[in-house]
Amino acid sequence: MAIVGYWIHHPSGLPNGGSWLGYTYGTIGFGLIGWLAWFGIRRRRYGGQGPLEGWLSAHVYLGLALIVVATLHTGFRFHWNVHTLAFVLMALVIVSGIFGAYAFLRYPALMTSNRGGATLKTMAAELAALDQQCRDLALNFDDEVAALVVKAAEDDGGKFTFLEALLGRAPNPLEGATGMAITRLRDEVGGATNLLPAEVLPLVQNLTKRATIVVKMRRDRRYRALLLLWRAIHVPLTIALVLALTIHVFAVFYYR
Amino acid sequence: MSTLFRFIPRVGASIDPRLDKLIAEHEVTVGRAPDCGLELKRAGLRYHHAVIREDGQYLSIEALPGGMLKKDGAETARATLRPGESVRIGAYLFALLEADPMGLADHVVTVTAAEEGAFDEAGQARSYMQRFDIVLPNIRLYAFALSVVVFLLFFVVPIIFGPTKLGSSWTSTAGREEAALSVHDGIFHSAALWNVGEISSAHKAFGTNCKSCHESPFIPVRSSACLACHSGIGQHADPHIAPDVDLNKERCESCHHEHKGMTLATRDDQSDCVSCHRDIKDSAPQTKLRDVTDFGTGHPDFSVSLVQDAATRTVARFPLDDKNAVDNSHLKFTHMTHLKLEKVKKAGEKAGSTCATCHEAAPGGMIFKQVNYEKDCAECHLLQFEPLHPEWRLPHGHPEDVANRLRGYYSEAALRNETFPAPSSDIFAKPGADLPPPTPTGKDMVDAKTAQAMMSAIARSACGECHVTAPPEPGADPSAWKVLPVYVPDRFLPKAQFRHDKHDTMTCQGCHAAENSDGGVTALIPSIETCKGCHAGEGGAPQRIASRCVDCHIFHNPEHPVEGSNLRAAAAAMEPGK
Repeated sequence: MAIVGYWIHHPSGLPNGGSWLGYTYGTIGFGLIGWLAWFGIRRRRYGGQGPLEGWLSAHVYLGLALIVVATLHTGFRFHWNVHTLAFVLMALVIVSGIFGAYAFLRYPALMTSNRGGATLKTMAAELAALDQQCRDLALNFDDEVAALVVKAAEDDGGKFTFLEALLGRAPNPLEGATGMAITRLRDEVGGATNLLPAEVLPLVQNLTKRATIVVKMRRDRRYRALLLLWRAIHVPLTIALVLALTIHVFAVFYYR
Repeated sequence: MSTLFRFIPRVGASIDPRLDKLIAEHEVTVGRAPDCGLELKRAGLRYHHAVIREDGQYLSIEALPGGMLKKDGAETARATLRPGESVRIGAYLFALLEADPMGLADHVVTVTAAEEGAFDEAGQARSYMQRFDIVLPNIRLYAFALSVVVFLLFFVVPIIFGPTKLGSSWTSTAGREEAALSVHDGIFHSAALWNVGEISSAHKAFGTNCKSCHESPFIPVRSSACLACHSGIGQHADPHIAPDVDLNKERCESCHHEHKGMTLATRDDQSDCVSCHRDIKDSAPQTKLRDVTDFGTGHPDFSVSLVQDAATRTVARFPLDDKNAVDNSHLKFTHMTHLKLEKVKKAGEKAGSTCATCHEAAPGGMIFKQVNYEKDCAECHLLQFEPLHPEWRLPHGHPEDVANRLRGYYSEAALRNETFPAPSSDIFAKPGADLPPPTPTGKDMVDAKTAQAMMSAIARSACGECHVTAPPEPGADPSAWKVLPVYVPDRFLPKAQFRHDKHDTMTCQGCHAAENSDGGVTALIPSIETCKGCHAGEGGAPQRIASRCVDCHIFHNPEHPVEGSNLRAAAAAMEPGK
């Protein structure tokens, strides 16, 4: 409806937020932003009007509608000023919100299937137990091999990077300390062969199992990060947006 | 020589005799390797960690490469173990007991498995929990910091350094000077942080001075701020005729929008005009204007302004097809005659006549310069009057000089005793009639010839060929013919702003049927159908230019200035130094 209005309306000069239709979009947008921001307070409260699920649903859909209304309010005119700042902040808030909605639709199910019934605590305990076993098994090997195995048993895939959180590109443990230890163990018993003798087999099995759990835990951490971190953009930018919006309205009416 | 190793499974426990190991060697290697004399499988111990040798009453212990011993809290590579002393090898504490002469072995060493350094599985699990935890950033801190930045940069900075402080009113000289000194633009100009859009090109000179137009906060721009400079601006129509469009009651801003880019945004849509001009009598009952809805489909044909009184330069408007249209410009001229090449050639030396022979565009491109006798006519129209002396010519444009000039010519001829034969008509006098009087001489000749030439030149040959002339009043000097004043207006369609320069891709004849025009202005001015060959209304048409009302017509009519727009007063106020 708003788009049709924009299509029909021909203000003098370039389309802008100052025509009567522009003011209408602006007023609707202002109201929407106020209401959407109120959700941040509403969600912390019990009771109130209607279930919180309803509020969340409205928050998502009205947030999406806001893009249309606010973009039409700009008349597609952008400059380096507080007015465009408010729009850019709003756009970032909405984009992060869209990501948040997507994350909550997608990642909880992925987390469940990734954990496969285990909890973070049981996975950590299993990892520690495997570490213990690896260390014990390593005692049968000379210092160099033992050191490699102990190092592999410490391997948690390294630092958790922003890129990994975003793209899910976890380091491959078989390219790290674990891989090195397994290769060395294969060499120990006479080169690469799939049929490993009993003296190294348990150790290789343990290291491999351990690496699988590390990958699962990293994936789990990534899902949790994605579920939490978008709010670190969404919330501060919303606060800044409300402020920039207030300055925008003030400035526009100060210089009418 | 022999050494008895007795094992204590953990600190504080007692010796487990089942694990006792007696080694009858002078030298014992300690390590995890199967070839070690004392093979101990425990983390913290190297494959081959150390060698224990007998050294009389004592034992000497030497760490193997890569291994390390610890005695009395200090790391060392070599240590001597005396009775009662202990040395740590990897995860084990080796203590030499006092020699027992009755014992089985020469030396008895207790080996205690130390807890210290052992792998802590529960601790490792906790560490993993921690390592795979998400540490949330401090969202409140970020929000606060970001808000402070936005507030400082976009509110405090503009308030302190920007628009509210910058410049005083443009309507004062001091304010203008201040603004002129502070003309700069770009995002680093703090006023730009609040600027909603680019200021139009014409207003850029004082554009950074917000107070030039925004005189008071929260009050829309007043028209007085515009009229301070745009002092000569006119009403759209005489407010007595069309009270609905009294611009004194309107704000300039309701049609002209600033901050919309390089060009000042102006209401120029046809619907605005047509809302009144569709039924113009409704809003202005006394008007003579006809109704208009669209240039292409609802615009009356043009009316021309024709001269009614050349002396007072009054004009009247006639529809182009009005057969009774009167044009009193007092000039006899046909384009048809002048554009027929042979005739022009025969008459004079000019090499053929085109439009540009006489018509030269005036600066501005809208109109043409006035046709001028000296420049455009004199070459052919020589203003001769005396067949015997074609070199004698009358002055153009100064009828009061004509008599003097004639008298001068003939006086000079009289002084030379020149005579002029009688007019040929006298030769064919009726038989029996009186003979013509003898050819006069001297002053008589001068008087007669001057009077005769005055009459013939002005009435017919010289002036009268192009000008409308008037015979003398009855009873007055019969030779006192008069050339009537000439007035040819610059524009015949003064209600529209036709730009000739913008149509210079056309030929003149494309619009003006000059070659067949035998005099009348109405035949020369193209009708609206000619325009419609290229132009359509606002909505456009296939292969036609979309044309709005304002493409030809000006909204503000300077004949009816807006109140308060006193051009002189404003100009005086603008003068530097005041």
